[in-house]
Amino acid sequence: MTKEEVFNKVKEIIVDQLDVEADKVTETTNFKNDLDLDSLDIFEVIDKIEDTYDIEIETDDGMETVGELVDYVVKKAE
Amino acid sequence: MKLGFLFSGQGSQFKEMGQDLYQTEPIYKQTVDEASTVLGIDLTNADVFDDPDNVQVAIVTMSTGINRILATEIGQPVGATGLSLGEYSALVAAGALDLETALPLVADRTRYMAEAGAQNPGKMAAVMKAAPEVLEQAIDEGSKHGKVYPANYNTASQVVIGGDADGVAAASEYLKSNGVKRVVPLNVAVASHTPLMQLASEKLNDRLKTVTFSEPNYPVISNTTADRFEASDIPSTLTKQLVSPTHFDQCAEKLASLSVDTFVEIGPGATLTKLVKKSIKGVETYHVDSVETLAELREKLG
Repeated sequence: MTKEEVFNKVKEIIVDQLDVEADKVTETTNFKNDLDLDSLDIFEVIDKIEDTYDIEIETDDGMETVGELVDYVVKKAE
Repeated sequence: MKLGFLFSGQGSQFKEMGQDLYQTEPIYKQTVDEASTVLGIDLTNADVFDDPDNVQVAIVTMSTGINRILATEIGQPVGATGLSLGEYSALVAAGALDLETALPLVADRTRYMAEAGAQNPGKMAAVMKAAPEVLEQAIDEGSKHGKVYPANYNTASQVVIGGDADGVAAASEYLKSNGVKRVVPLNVAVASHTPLMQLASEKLNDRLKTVTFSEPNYPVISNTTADRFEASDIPSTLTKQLVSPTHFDQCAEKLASLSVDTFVEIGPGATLTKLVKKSIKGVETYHVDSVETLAELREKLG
């Protein structure tokens, strides 16, 4: 499972669940500052990812960008 | 295309909201000017519009302005709903209440809620993916330590609880000890839609005696009853709304049962859009709260 695959999945979840445009989601996108997401929104994304990859994500201090979340998932799912 | 309108509640307001629309959309401008005259405050001034004390009237004004634009361009919806405060915007949109009457009413509602909140400070927390029985048990447990109630049934997997600090804390602890992974405290000081708002509800009840409502032109689904508002029961339902849980999940389903295939959220934020996306599959959703989002809607639906 490559970083790119995970990124695409994370992006898909964000676009699908949160009414965000695909081109707004990049690795450096900051959840709060760029996408205006609040903690509930972020939890929804994390929840879906946990289900998709069958992993547990310890919340979220330090995961402020899409890239950070992707890195975390890649590590956890190894 | 069958439209369903969703009118935003409090919580997603943002700085300078509506200022861009004021500059470019004459109908919107007219609405804000009208609201300023009705209330005797200068809503054209961003500081006034963004003032937390004015948030309810600002949201209703913004939603009404946007709705008026949409009425001329995409027509009437087959049904509408609003979340809490949004119900007032919905009733204005559906002609049950005119803006001139709604704004002072909403200003008073704001005051009553603030007074009740000062008397009974509250806390609220969003509970994600808790089984109904577990939630019930948590409420029972919390009620031994303080006050806690279900306040918002937003989706099948998102319920907001509200009460006093002790009650909410105890319920949250119970939930976390019983497998519920996410209990997210909300940044509010008032437990809306719980009996802590009783004082506000009583004042609103009296105040509503001075208001006459007309039959809505299209179904407006109440958060409190999950059924259509009818002119004769609007006052009692709005009164109950302050102390009773909201059932947005059922409101969305009700609109879907009216064959709505396109939901448009009107007012600041995309909170209701996101909730609908979780509950109802196979529908289009839009939200309008800026020049940019209005342009997107016009491009797709105009």
